[in-house]
Amino acid sequence: MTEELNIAQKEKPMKSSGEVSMVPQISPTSYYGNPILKSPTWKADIPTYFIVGGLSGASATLALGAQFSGNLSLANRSRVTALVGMGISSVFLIKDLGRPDRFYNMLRVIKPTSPMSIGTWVISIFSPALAVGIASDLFSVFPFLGSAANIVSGVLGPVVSTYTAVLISNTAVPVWHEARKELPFVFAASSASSAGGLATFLGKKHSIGQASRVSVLAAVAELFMTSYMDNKLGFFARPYKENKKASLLSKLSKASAVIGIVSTIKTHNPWVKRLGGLCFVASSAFLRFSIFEAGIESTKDPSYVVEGQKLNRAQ
Amino acid sequence: MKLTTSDPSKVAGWNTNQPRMGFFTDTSICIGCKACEVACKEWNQVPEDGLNFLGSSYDNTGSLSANSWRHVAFIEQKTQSQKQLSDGIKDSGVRWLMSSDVCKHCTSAACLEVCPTGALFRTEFGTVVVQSDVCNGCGYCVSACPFGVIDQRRGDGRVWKCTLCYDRLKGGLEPACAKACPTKSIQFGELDDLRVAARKRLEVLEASGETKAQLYGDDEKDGVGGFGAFFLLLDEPQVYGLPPDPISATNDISSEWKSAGKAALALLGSILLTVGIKK
Repeated sequence: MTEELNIAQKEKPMKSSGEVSMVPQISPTSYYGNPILKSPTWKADIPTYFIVGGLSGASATLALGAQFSGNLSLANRSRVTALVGMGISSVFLIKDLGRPDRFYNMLRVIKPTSPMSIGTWVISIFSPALAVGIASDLFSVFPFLGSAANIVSGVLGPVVSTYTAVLISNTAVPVWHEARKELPFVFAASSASSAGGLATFLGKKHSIGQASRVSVLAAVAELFMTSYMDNKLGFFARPYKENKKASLLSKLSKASAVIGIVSTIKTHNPWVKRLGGLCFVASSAFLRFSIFEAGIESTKDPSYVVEGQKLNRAQ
Repeated sequence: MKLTTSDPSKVAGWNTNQPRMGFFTDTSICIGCKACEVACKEWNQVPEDGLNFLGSSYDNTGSLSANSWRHVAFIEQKTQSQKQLSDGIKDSGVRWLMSSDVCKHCTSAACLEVCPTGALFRTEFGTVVVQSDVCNGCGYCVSACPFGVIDQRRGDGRVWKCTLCYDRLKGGLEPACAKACPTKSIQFGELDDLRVAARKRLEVLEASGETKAQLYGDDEKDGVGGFGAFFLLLDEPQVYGLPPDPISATNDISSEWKSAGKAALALLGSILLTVGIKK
C-alpha cells in the first residue's frame, strides 16, 4: 500500500537541480494523459439553478416559519421570492437540456435511483403549492387550502434545497461522489443563508430581523460545513486548491460570507444589513460555482480516477 | 442499488429464457486494424468524429464518444526484454498494446439508473440501450458513467453509445464489430460461455510468461457488478485509459438520500426554530 500512498502524495518536480528526491518518482499511468471520464455536459445553467433553486426552497420554509411567528410581511415576500425563483429555475433547467422541447419526458417515470427524476417530481408539487398559497392570500379565498399549500411548500422546500446535492454526488465525478455525505449539508446551509440574505435585502425595515438571523446562522454553518467537507475530502480536495477558478470562487464565497456576517451583526443600519444580505446570496453563488468547477476539474485529470480509486481500495 | 445477479434483464422485468449476451475483447490478439470501428460506424450510421491527427501512436480516434462506439487504443511500451528471438534477431525492447474499447454494458449500469426519462433501458439480452426518440439530452448519464463512454452528440443534443447492435441481435446476427474482427479479438456470445473462454485464455497467457495479463470486468463482485462487455488486458487498466476500480455511483444512493434527508430536516428545523422566536 505504501507505493499507492506515495502516488497520492505525489510531489511536484523539484526546481533546484542539486536536490535528489529519496522517494521514487511515480508518475500516474494514463492513456496519453487523456481524461478517463467525460466532463459533465451541464453548462452554467445548472450551478445557477443550484443557487436559485436552493434559495427558493429555503425561502418557502422561511415563509412558513415567519407565518407561524405572525410576521406576515416576511412570510408573503419570501413565498413570492420562492415562486419567482422556481419560475427562473425552470427556465435554466429546460434551457440546459440537449432537447429542450422534450423536457416533459422527465415526467414519464419516477425513479428513486435518479435524483433528477425525484427532484423533477418534487418541484412539480412544490411550485404549484407556492402558487396556491400566494393566490389564496392575495385573493383571500380558500384560506384552508392556502394554509395546507403553505405547509406543503414549507416542508418540501428543504428537499428542493438538498436534492441537488444528491444529484451531483450520485455521479462518477470524483470530487462530488466522495463528498456525498457532506454535500447535502453544505447545500442546506448555503440555501438557508442565501434565502435569509435575500429576504433581508428585500424586506421591510421592521420585518427583517428573523431573516437576517437565519442568514447569519446559516452562513456560519456554510463556512463550517465547507471546511469540514474539504477536510473529509483529503486527496480529493485538491481541485479546490489547485484549480484556479475553483480556488478563487471558494475564497470569494468565504470572504462574502464573512463580510455578510460582520456587516449584519455589527450594525443597526438597515441598509448595511441589506448589503450584508446580498453578500450571503453572493457567497452561496460563489460556493456552488466553486463546487461545480472543482467537479469538472476532477473529471479532466485522470489521476483523480486512478489514484483516487486506488486510495479508496486501500482503505 | 447494486445488482449482484448476472442476469440483469430478469431484474428489469423481462420474462424470457434469453441468456445474457456480451463481448469478450481479448486484447492480446488485437492487431489494431480498426475494422471494428469502421464496421460499427457503417452499420449504426454513426457520424464522422473529426478527421484528426492526435499523435497518439496509431490512435486518431482518441476515446469513445457519442460518435465513436468502438475505439482502438494503441500503447507503445518499453520492455526490459533482451530476449534472443531467433537467428540473431534481438527483441526490440518495445511492445505495442492494442485494445478495442467499447461500452461495458454494466450489470449495475449507473447511466441507466440515473436516466430521468427512462430513455436508457435494459434489453432482453442484458445490454443497455438508449432510446433516441425519448432522450431529452439532460446529460445525467454522461456524468454518471464511470468509464466516460456515453456522451452527448453536438448539434443533436441527445446522448449516444454502443447498443451492442440491438437490431442485429434481434435478427439473430452478431454485432457488426465482432463480425468484422479478423482475429476474433472481439468475441460475441453468451456471457457465461465467454467468461469460461476468457479464463482459459488467461491461463495460457500466464503460462507463456505474460505476468501482467488480467481479466478486466469479469468479476461480479466489482463496483459495477461485472461488465457485459469485458476484457483481457496485458497491463493495468489505467494504461489503456480505463479506471482501475470502477464503481457505479448509484451503489450509494440510499445512503445519499439518507444524508439529504438529515440535511433537509436540519434545514427545516433550524429555520422554523430560528424564525419562530418572534421578530
